[in-house]
Amino acid sequence: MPKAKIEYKLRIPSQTENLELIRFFVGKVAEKVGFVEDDVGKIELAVDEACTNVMKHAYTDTAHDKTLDVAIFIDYQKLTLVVTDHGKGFNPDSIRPPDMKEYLAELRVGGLGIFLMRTLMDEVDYDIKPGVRNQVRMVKYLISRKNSRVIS
Amino acid sequence: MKRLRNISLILPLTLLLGGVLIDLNLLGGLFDNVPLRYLREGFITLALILSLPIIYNQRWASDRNILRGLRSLFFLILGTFLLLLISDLEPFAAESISTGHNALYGSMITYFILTAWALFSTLFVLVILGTIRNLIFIKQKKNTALHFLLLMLVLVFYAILSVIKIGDLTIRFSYRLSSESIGYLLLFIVINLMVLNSFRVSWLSFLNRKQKLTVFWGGLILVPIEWLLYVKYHTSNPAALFSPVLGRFVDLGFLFLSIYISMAFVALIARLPTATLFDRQLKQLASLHTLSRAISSEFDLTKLADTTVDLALQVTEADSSWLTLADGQGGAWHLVAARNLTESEQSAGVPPPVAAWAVAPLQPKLLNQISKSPVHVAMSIWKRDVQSVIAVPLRSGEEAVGCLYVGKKIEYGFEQDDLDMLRAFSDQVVIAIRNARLVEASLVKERLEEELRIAHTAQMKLLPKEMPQLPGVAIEAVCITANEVGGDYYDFFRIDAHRLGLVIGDVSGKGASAAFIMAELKGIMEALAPQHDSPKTLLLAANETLYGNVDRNIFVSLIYGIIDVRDRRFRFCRAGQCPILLAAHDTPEVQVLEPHGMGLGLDSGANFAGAVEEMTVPLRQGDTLLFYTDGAIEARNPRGEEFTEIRLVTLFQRHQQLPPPEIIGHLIAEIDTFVDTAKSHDDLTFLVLKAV
Amino acid sequence: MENFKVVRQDSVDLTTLKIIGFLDAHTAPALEEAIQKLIDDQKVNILVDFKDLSYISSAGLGVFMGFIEEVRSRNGDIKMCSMSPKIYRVFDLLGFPTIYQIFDKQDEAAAMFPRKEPASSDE
Repeated sequence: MPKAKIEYKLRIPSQTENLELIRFFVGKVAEKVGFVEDDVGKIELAVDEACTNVMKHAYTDTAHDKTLDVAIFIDYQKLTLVVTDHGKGFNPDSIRPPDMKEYLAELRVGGLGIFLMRTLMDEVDYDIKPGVRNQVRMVKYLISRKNSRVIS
Repeated sequence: MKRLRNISLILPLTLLLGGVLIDLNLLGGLFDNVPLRYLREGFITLALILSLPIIYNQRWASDRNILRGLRSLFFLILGTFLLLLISDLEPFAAESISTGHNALYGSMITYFILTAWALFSTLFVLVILGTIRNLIFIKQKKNTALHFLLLMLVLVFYAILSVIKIGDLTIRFSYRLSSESIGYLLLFIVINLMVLNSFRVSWLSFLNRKQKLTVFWGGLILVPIEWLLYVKYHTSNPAALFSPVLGRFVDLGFLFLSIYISMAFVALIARLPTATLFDRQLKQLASLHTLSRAISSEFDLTKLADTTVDLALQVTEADSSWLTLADGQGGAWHLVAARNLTESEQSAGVPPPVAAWAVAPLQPKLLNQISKSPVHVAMSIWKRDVQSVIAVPLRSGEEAVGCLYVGKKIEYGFEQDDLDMLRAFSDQVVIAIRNARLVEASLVKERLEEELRIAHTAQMKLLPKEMPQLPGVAIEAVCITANEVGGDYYDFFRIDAHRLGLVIGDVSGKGASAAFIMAELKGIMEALAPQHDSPKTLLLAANETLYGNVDRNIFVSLIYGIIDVRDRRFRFCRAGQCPILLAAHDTPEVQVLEPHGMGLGLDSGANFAGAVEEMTVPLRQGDTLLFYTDGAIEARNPRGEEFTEIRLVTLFQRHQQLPPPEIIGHLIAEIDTFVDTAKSHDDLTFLVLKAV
Repeated sequence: MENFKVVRQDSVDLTTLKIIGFLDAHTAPALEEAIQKLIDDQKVNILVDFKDLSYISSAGLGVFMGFIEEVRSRNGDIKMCSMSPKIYRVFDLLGFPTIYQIFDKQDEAAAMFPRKEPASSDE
């Protein structure tokens, strides 16, 4: 069987109002691949979290290319999500002195998000290059690797 | 039809020709017209030749009809002789030929009598020749036909010569042969041919003794009569008067007949002393033939024994016969068949001393004076009226599997011949007995297997008879039982329009209790399936029910899952059963699905809940799931190697594209080949599910 | 904003917030606002009705996390009810059922709030 690596890509303004669109896009693709309903929901939630994080950390006071790339790779038994932001990235130094409460809340939210992602997806990798690019890569297998093994 | 046509063509022809010419003659004294006479003779000769087929057209040449033919010959000759006796042939004496033709031809009555006699005797000779021909042609040899034809031709030729005057012949070496000596030479040739043909009397060997005796007595009367007939006819031959050709022909015909039956008679006398012996041999051969026929088709031991004693009695002309067979343990001899034994004799059985004498040494024995033998006492106690006996042990290798006896009321009742005969018999019988026993053994084996089969039918009844129909999936399942341990089990439950529950499991343990548990399990599953959306909750409930109802040493492992064709997924739990193999349509890899789980009925529930994991997998079009029980991977080949999971996976990979029944077909075929001659110990169960 | 709505229902012992639509990083601030308002109004017995909520992400969860300490320090509570299995699963993943009381039915949840003393004549 030929390797069927299919890519779907969405470039979209990096605004939270577009989260709905992103969820819809990713959910439809996951359905198409054949994930069960529960897993589709999980993927949607995972991409939401990832995008939210990327959007938050891409926050910068200078107006730059404020778009977000959501790429989905379909490769046999798995679905790979790559969320990339072309913003300058999170510059800890450039951030304005935060409200502590707000900061903590944000961090906590951020923490929750990551935790969720790791629970929902099979593999999660963050790649933040402050000032360059923020990317998160997530993989979900059609069949949970926790309970199965592959023989080739 | 053809024959009649032939004859009916010839006869009118003959009569017509003869009649015409005679009319001409009667037209006053043309008898001296030589050319006309020659013409007349010519016509008559032609008519004779054309009548010869009568000889060849008589067909009864088969050994069954010999006696009939001989009988007709006998009566024909006898009849003719009597006829001859009562009629007056004097006027036809040779002398009167030369004198007064007119006197003869003057009277119409005389003329008709003459003609009648001539035609009658010609026909007679033709029929006789035909009869003899048939006799000669029984047991035809290379030159039989040739010699007979030669004889016929020379006969006719010689007959024709009676009117043709051959002048003196001058042969090369200037040796003169007078016409007279030519005539004698020819006669010499004719007689030689007759004698030559008369050697062909092999039909005599087809007669049995009684028949030979009959023919002897008949011959004793017939031969002298026939010679008398010949002599009488030779001297006063009406046919000769009518036509010289016919006359000569008829004369020679009678001569041949006489020579032939004389030769036959002499040959018969020569064969009489050995007739009895011959007869007996024939009888024996026939009996052996009957026996081998009976034996080759008979597998029933009793019937076989019966046929044997029957034939043994007949062929040795004994007064009684009986057959014993050894029972496997080599001790007692059972009387299995007998002829002319009384009830008490039969129930008593053959006395041990007699039986011992019969089989030691392992040779057929003939005892013509029982009164003077060691077994005398035993024999007389058991069966008084036997004075001579033959005992033939039935040998199989170095053992006796039985013994055949025949007895006669008189001393010296049997001959060596009888012994040989029975020995030949016994060989056949041993073979037949062996065959019958083999058949019996295989029948017993069959019955045992039948019982096992029945035991398993109960188990098999628990399995679904048909595959469920659910649009969107193709399912096929098969269970091949091994007739030993309690078995594998699978079932289907239609939950609603788009969901089907399936279970595949295996109850280990022996026999009845395992089968019982399986039945119970089936009931439990049927009750619970409609009530549970979650396989895990169903198994928890099932576990609770089974716990306490199941013996310690019985282990129930199964997989329960729900196929949802609307949501395109399969949700299941694995309670100790072999993992499921998944072959996705878009990848060559096979995935082994093995969520955690433990067997049913082993734990009250506290641990069970924690130990069993539910798993859901998507079912996309073309994806195939293979369920199997450990019979598949534990199947052993003659070297003791197991089939193992990896082989199964490789096979599944190779055939995953095929429809479920074909996949299963390939799996079973491969395992079969692998197992080869080794015995199978465990049930082999496969369930294949494909999303279509 | 049309995709998310908060409907406030005041009753004697508690205030019910019906949240409708989806709750993500974009719509979460609206919830935050609503709850903040409740706290400002001294309404600390809050019941959140999830019946018509189709989606929640960590942003939504984070809102509750942000207020729960404060509400409880004021002797109030945030209770939740009528969650769809999907929503409940997300809470479950994060271990929230141990922090929040989650009920199937609204009346059950309502009954769990402390009853106010019968009002005096001048209340």
